[in-house]
Amino acid sequence: MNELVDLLIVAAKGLFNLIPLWAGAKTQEQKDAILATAKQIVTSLDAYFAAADATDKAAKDATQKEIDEAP
Amino acid sequence: MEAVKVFVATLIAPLPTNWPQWCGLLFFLVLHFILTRSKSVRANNLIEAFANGALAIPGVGALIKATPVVGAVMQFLDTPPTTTPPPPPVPHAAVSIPLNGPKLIPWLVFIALGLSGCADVMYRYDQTTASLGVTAKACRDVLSKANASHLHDCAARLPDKVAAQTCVDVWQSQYANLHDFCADMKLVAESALTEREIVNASVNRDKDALGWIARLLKAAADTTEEFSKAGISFSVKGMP
Repeated sequence: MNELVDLLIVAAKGLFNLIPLWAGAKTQEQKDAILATAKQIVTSLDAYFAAADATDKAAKDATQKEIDEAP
Repeated sequence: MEAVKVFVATLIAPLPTNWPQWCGLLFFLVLHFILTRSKSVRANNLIEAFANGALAIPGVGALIKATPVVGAVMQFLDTPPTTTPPPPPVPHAAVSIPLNGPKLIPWLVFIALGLSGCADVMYRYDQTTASLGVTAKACRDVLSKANASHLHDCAARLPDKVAAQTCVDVWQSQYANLHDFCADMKLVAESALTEREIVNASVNRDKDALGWIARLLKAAADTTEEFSKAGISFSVKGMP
């Protein structure tokens, strides 16, 4: 149950960034800012996923090592 | 008869204030109607894209079908024509992308049109694209958190090595599926950004010269045409 709550908190923190996107833009500058944000977020996804993959692999390797070295 | 009058009045009453949303809904229904009766391979491919990709999004298909009016109309539209059966699919030379991401682009266009109706389509498209990126990041964050938590639980099963190893193996299988899901979401966001100019060109072409209904119909046709020109087609079941 606690794990589920933790995951929900992580998801909520991540999705918090949706609020400024959907707050509403009236001027053309604000709309252009949404496009710039979209570009910035999407182009950074590859690096973000690569870093997360590396972190997850390190955690998996550490656990595997712990299991292999257990008596 | 009275019930019909009430039903029609309920539909028409919000029109003055909600016309953009009705415009989006009308766009979808007209597009759906045209595509389900089209004989072209490309249009049939687009239907497949909607069916396999867009409506497969958890909740979206169910939400649409659960809406009484839309559900009833879609049921009517989904009835295959009796006089003009669809032709058998023929192989085509366009590049076929066997990924879910590009298949979802037409649906993104629909979401943008459905949210904004006839105005600010590209603004809504950009919002949707950015939201997909944010959601993909959140998805990856949750996966990392779940990974750390599960591996910790597996390690806690030591000194029983077999139980710990089984726990890790089972989780890795689930992890791979979830990872694919997040990666698909990332792919959709990246595809949406890549294809933005094509969508923009289709939506804004002849903007001032046509009425809004004609403009939406033209945008739908142009978008399909532009995707085809760009070499993007949509895989059909049973075809390479």
